[in-house]
Amino acid sequence: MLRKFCKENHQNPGLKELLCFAKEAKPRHKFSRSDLATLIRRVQSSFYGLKLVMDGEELTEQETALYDRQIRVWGADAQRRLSKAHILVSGLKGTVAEFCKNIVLAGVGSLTLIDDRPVTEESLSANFLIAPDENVFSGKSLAELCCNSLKDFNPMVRVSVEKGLLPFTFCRRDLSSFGGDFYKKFDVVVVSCCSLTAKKLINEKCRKLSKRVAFYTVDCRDSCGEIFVDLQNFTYSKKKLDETVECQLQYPSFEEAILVPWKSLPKRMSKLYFAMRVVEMFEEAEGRNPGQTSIDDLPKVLKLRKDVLEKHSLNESLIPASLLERLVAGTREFPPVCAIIGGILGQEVIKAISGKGDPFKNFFFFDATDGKGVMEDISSDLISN
Amino acid sequence: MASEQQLSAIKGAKVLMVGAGGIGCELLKSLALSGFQDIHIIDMDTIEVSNLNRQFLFRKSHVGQSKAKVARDAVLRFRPHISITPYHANVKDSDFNVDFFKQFNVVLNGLDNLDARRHVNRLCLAGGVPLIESGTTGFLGQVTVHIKGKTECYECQPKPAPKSYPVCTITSTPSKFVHCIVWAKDLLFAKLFGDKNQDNDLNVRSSDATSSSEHAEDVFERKKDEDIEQYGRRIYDHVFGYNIEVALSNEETWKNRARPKPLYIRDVLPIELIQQNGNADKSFVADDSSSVSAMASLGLKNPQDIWSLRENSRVFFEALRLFFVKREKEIGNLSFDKDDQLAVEFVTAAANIRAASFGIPLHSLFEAKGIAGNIVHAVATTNAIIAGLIVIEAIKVLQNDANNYRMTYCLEHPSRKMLLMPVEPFEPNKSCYVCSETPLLLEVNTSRSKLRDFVEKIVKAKLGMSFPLVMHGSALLYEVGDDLEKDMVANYEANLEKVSMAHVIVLSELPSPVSGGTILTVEDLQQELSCNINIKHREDFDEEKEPDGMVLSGWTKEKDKTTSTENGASTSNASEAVSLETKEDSDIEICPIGIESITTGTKRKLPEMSDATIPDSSKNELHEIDDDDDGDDLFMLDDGNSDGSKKKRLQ
Repeated sequence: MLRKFCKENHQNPGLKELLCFAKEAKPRHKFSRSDLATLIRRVQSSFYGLKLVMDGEELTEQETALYDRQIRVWGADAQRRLSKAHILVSGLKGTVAEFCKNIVLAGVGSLTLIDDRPVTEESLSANFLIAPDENVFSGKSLAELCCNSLKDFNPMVRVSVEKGLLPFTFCRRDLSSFGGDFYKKFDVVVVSCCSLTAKKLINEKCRKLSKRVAFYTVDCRDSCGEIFVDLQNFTYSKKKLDETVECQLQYPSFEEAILVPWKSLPKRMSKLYFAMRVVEMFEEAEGRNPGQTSIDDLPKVLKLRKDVLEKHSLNESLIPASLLERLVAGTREFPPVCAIIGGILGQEVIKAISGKGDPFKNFFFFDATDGKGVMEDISSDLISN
Repeated sequence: MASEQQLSAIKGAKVLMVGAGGIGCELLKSLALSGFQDIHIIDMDTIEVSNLNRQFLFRKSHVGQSKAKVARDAVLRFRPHISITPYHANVKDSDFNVDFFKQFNVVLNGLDNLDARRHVNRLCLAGGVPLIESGTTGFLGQVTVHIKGKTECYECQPKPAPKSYPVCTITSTPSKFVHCIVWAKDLLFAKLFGDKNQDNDLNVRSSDATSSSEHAEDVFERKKDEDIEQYGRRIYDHVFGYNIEVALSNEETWKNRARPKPLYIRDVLPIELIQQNGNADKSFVADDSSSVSAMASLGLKNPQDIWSLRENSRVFFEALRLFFVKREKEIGNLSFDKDDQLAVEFVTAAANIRAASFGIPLHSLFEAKGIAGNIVHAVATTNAIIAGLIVIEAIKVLQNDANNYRMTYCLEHPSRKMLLMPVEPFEPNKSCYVCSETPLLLEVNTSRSKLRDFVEKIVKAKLGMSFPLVMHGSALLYEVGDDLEKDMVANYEANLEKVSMAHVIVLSELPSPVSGGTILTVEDLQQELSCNINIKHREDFDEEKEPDGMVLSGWTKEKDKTTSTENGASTSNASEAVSLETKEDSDIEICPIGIESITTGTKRKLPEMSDATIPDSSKNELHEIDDDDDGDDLFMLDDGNSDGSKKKRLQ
């Protein structure tokens, strides 16, 4: 029976790998710890693959019952695509915790978490995934603690931690040190608390792969939030009246998008776009970790604003000082804004995976003080080659 | 992060949440994270499996437990030092009276049904407590702020009436699948398994009976000694065969329509196959009556599959048989329930057979269940976004920051770049019978209508009162209280006079006669709502268009377009048509003459949550919030590309 099973599933990459491994292993071979870990991971991933083959194109009864209400929103085919998607997130603050919850509930295939930082009071402030019980998180990283809660939300989603990594650049090892082989394993990469350099690097690595890996950045400061998305070359379907039409979109990379001269951007571009770029540049220039600013930095940030706007030959009023002050001083996230940004990002990732409905281009901004959630499209004709 | 001022407002606040469902779970989490210390939460529901994809505070092991209590425990795990008080109860219980509401600084609604929303709105108005109202459907949602005297109340704009279909569309000329579902659910299912004494528009006369009218017997009565298979064949041939032939004989009807095809069981399913049905079961069916399923005993697995006519016919027979064999005791008082697998199977099969007869595309059980059960589409992300917006508004309300209150719409497609669109709240509608004291107008035939009709069709159904009191000057005409139902007998003496009057005597014959020019006062003491109704006598009513035999107007401009309201509304017929058309999947009811009772037959499980009502704000102008250089033109909220779920056009 096993032979028949292997024959039927011989195309399954996980099973192939497992069989190779079994062939390599000699009798009485002594396994080291890391060998065992690899073996377990391979077995896990092959079983994951096998499940898909066995289920074929149909959702299980359990899935249909659990996902009933959302299948009514996006359809069974979208749900199947979701269940095969692999997602990587880095930087587990409140907004990303919200996003992870949404995507795990939606029923993605797997979610991999990166954040080796220890738990601090700040990291607890907007994160409902971690209980403030010191006994529980002694010695565990943010990612490990979040992982445990997320697994609970939906037993059908495989949640795991990629250890030994921080979301920052200026620390030991960060996400951007990985090669393309690492990113190839995922369909969606979401980074938060990430430096300007790292954002560009990771985005470029995703773009160089033969398969399309959707890239997102997300950050919240004070009561403001920003999302950036790069879906590269994206084909999707949408309903127009009674027909389903195919659409195509071309996305610039993060670097290409922010290189667009500010003068040529649309006149009503959200002020948050400019303010976030100035803060990003400041952190980069000062060698700070993302979010590592305080009100004391304001004079320097205002000086930088002056320089940058002069360079773009624009008026200083484009970026209100009060807005910069909020972004620099209010580095803690505002929980309701985390819920909103995490919700919007969740929806966008679901659209990108399912290929259904208009995804947004290229930035999304929300500011609780005016209550507007705005999409900003940096159209391709602005991108210089 | 919240400012110092915000934090102190949050810390000192006592808030009431109504609903611990899709929005409720997200809201409770966001309130706790934002620093709220004293939260009370009411929900009468228990947890179901289909909640788990978005109500993230609940686990499979919690199925069957109180939502309010489990939600509390889950949130205390990450915020152990705050106070959360759960109530596993109906918000309409008399314990939750105005005094109860008054202890809160703000009330936050995460409800899914109009009835409870209206009730909470009235209590908030009576207690002067600010209300933040919310709803979601699929990717759409909205948050609104209601403060007595400052902004419109939840009921200032009439809510769109549930979708209804003309009786003849359902009984003779269905053109869409939904018509077949309504037929299968509200007519056939109700006839076979529901209360026999209820009126039903199904033709029950067989061909033999029409010839000898004296013995006109009901085809649906199972004859003595008739075996279940014979009975099933008779029903099948009658409703899908004979009744279609009868309809076909009326040539007028089919001049501009495709003629349906009568279906007889002998043509669809050879006799051996039906018998196979029966045999398959014996080894198969579980004893537990709740898990009885025709699909299971026929080996049909995937609810997404569309069954053939033959498969549908087999499911029809098997479901009918299982009802009689396994659930015989319930027959006679069953009403359709979307969580009743066998009922859903029967209705799906019957609707599909009828659809096949009328050349309408067949649908899967999954789709049919959604239509029959008025299931509202729901995803976690929209609920999370809406909950975040509620908290932002709640903090403004606590700080009394009236200039910055906003209604926010969450859209599926951006409108002027916006996915989240804030709009300034509207002023109260001066002719709203709920938050102003403007009297309503009732046109009624006072010499024909009964007080009972007035109470049921107007006071309860239209005005949404639960425990109404009707007065003419100082004379009490009608009253209903908590004890009346339970304790009918004990209270009979005291209420005899009133009750019997309500049943028998027409309005003009009451001890203090009601006639044209009379002003009636209607009150609900629990809701602390009182309103006056001017009575105008009118002789005749159009049976199709005015099935109640009375017409209420005043605050509503739904029916009577000449009655204008004062908030600068520009209602176009087009926008109204759109909003009606797209309501299709959320509320399905037949609106026939004199048999409104069949529509109330749905399971009385309060509040039957759908997380949504997008308010019919299509009747208002949306003024853009002026902050920068955006000019002051009006918003077009055009959702033309949505998945047909809901569209709005504001102009």
